[in-house]
Amino acid sequence: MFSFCAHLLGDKELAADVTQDVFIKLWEHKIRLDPDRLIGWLLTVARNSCIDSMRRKKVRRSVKETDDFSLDSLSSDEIGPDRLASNEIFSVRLKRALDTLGEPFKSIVVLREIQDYKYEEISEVLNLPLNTVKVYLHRARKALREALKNELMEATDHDFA
Amino acid sequence: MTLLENQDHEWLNSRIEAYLDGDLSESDRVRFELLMEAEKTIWEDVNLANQIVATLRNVRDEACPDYVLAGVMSHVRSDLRRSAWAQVQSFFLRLNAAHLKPAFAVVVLFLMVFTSTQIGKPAKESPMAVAQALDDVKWTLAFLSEAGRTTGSTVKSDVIEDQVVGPMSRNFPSKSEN
Repeated sequence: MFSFCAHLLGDKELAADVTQDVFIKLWEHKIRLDPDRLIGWLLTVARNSCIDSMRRKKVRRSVKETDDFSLDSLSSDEIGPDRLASNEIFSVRLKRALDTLGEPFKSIVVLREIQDYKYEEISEVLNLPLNTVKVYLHRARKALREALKNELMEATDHDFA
Repeated sequence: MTLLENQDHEWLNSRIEAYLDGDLSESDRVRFELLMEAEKTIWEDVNLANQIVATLRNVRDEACPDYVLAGVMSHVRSDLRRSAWAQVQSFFLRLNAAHLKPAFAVVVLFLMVFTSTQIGKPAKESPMAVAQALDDVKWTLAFLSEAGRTTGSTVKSDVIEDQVVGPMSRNFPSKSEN
């Protein structure tokens, strides 16, 4: 859940605060919760808290945080310096593109592609019909693709200039 | 630049994600692959979309800092302490409630009366303990008698009169006296 908040907010400290708040809320609501829906409840509350937090603090992602995301998050099976460098650049650009996505597109991408939740679970967390989740995921991925293509084109133009 | 009609291009572009997820019907998949072969830009788009998904799936989960758990546990502990104290308070508040006051007073009164009846009351005699004590005394007297006969010395009655014979005759009068 911390990871979900960190990806959504792009700020680990803020994500830690939100995670702590969510678990305290869980403790306070423990009697009224259905154990079978616990994960869904946690993610819903976490997402709402992240959205509130973003609104309150108007998070501005720094270059450092973007770098952290790419370097820390890359899997170690990417071997070779050239491959690593190109993957690193690609993931930095992808992170930047992901940050431009609005809600609920960003949540859907994080939950489905990064955290590997099922469509049914995402549908419950976001309170959206299953098909809508699929359609939104495809739209979000298309938006990421377009954003990355634009970035790549700009980078190519810059290199030639 | 492109070999495809615009509508084909749009059709392809809108179905790249579905193609990668295997969500296309068989006929759409065949059509998609035929068109993709004819259009290099679409092929590149499919590759890019694939790379996006692969990169996202390689992003590792962030580890939650220890202080988050410590903060939650601290809150839970203080909450438990507060709720335990609140339960004690509410118990006494309930006892103090107006409709329970008479019952509470009756219980306290009963306890006071019962305690007062127990104070100063002699302990009950246990028949077994009395029998044991009598047995002990008989054995003591027999031992003294045997010791006197063996050694030729006698225990003066005034030695045991006050300590043994007197209390015995007072507490356990013989049948002949009765």
